[in-house]
Amino acid sequence: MMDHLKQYIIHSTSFSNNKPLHFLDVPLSEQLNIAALIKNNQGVLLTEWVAPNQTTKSTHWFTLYLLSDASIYCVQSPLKQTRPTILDLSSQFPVCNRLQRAIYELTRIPTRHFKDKRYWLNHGYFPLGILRDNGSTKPARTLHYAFKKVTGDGAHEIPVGPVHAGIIEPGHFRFSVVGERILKLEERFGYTHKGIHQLLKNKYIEDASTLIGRVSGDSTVAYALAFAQACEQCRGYITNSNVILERNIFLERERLMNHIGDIGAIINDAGLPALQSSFSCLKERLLRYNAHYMKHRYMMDCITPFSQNMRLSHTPLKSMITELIEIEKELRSLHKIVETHGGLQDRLQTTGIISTEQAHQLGLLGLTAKASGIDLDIRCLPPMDGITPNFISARTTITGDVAARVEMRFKESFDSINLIRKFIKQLEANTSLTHDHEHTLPTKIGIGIVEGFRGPVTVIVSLDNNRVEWCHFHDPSWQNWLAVEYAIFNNIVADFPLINKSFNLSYSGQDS
Amino acid sequence: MWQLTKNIIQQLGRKRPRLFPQLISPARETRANGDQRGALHCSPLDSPAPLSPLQAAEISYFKSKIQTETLIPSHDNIQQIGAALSTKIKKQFNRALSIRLVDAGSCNGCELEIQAINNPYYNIEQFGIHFVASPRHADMLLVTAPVSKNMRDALLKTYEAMPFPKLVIAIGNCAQCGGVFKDSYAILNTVNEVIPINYIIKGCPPTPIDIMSGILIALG
Repeated sequence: MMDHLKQYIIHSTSFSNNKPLHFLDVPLSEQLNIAALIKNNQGVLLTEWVAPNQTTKSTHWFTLYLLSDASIYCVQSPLKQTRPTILDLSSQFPVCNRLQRAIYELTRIPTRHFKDKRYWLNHGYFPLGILRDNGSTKPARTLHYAFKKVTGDGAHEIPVGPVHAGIIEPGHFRFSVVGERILKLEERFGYTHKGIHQLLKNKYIEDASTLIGRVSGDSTVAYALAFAQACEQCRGYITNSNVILERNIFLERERLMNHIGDIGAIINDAGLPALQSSFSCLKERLLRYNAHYMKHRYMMDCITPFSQNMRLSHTPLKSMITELIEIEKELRSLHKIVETHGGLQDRLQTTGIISTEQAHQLGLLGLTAKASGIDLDIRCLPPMDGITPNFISARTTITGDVAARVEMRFKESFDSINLIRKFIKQLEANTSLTHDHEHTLPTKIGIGIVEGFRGPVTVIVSLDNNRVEWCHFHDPSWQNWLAVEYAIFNNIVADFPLINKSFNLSYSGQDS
Repeated sequence: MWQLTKNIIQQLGRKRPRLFPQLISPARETRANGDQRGALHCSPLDSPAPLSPLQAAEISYFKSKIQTETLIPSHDNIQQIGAALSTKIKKQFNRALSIRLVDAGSCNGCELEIQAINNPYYNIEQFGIHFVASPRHADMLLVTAPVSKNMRDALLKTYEAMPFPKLVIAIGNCAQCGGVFKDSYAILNTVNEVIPINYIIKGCPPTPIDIMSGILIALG
């Protein structure tokens, strides 16, 4: 397989902490074979997008893959000058159905032989092709969105949303049920589409960094870090290792607080609000410490490209260690309660199952995939030079139900605590380090991939002096929303909030 | 027949026994004083404050008389704002203010902080504010901005479904001018373009204290 891919490699480089990244240039028709090949080798599609190439004045189609043998492949193909089209990869990676629809709405580049003509992000309130360089847009049709019907004796539909009952984001769910049992769930999103792709064009790098931190408020560090990595790669700028460590501390803190909040929310939906309040207290404590160290409760705008970070001095690091000891102690006692609470486990186990086979077929990412037994974590990809140590050990659970996802969140939380401790130790050992940064060869496009708390957050950027020429970002929620549709099958309607919460996916991240 | 039923209801109302008066009364007092209740399941950020006589009395009602967890020391700001809130809500809304939240396209940051005001540190329910699932039950609408064009209709329908007085508070820097998303093709720059708003709570995202004091200001 590698030999087949190798013939197309135009150049190989590395991104954050020396992880291998290969750029491939292939003819358009070869993309289908490569997708199939990667799927067979347990790889996943991270994202696909279309972008103009200023030097050759042509448009390129990019697909980005993460392979289980620890490498990342960015495959690009030039498109025809007149009436360009891309190919349908949805038979290999089902998420492409939604991505291709979104690509058509933003760039007016259609997919060959693709039957699904329904709009995904565009609900008919703005023109199609907004990202085109020559500005040739086309008015959108305002058509009724046709959900796939389930017919039969007693089958009926329950529409939910876009405004939901709780304090959550907007999205529409269409359930087809018989009695209480759910036969099918179909999602419709795009309600929080804010046109960020277009806003990012020609923005100054600092402004773009602020904006991209608001794609999804709960993963703000992951997005800002991915953007910073992408920009630095583009310029051939190697960040000082202390800055990298500090950024990773922010990232792990974000993961920790989100996982703790999510476990609490899942437990609340299972009917134990008293236990949830313990988790929300823990989360609030982390938030207050964040405000104390980083001047912002969610660490927004703490990371900007080219090392201009919020810096951590010696005192916060010391108090962070004592803080983490307290948090870990409490989290361990809460973990014990969750594990041994019969009524709670009865509700969580065998609810909303995603099998390993399904997870592979759907190409799931991040925490959802790990709970179903697929361990693909950007943090533990082995480095190309073999020097930088692996950050975390492989950890998975295989049952793929709500209980597995709760268990994974606990595991990742404890991992994060250990990681932060490790980073602090390294930071303290590195105090004598004086050199600021180094330079390598700049690249045409920069790719930043960061393991956010939901999964890998991807940002691809092309710079023009100190402005962003174009930028593409991708949230793992795109892939993982598919899992909700499958996990809900044959469960009862009353379990939907619990199952949905166990994934806790971003609406804003997938719509933006 | 109607008169009879009415009589029965009145009788019942009058004769309703007060179960365990000793259990009910301290709770009422604490609420009036603006003390923090429902905060039993957490441990403090700082060192635990010595128990007030009231808290000690409260604990003594539990059968075991063993204190398993300490109460959170209350934050001065929260208690001040909270006391002002509960007096206002008592007067204007007959002790309970119902809020409906609509995410009109925000980045999710504001939602996190609104979830945070329900946690035991702030516990906004103790001041008589609670979040409801339907706009038909709501006195106040919280809108997290910016308003995306795709959410415009849903926001308008939610507003129309509310009973009067239809108080509206917009949350976030994006509410006034679009914030970082200003002039995007997919959003409306102000919430005011869709529905009339009473007050904007600024911040990106505003802290829970900001949100609480914002609600206080909006109540007039």
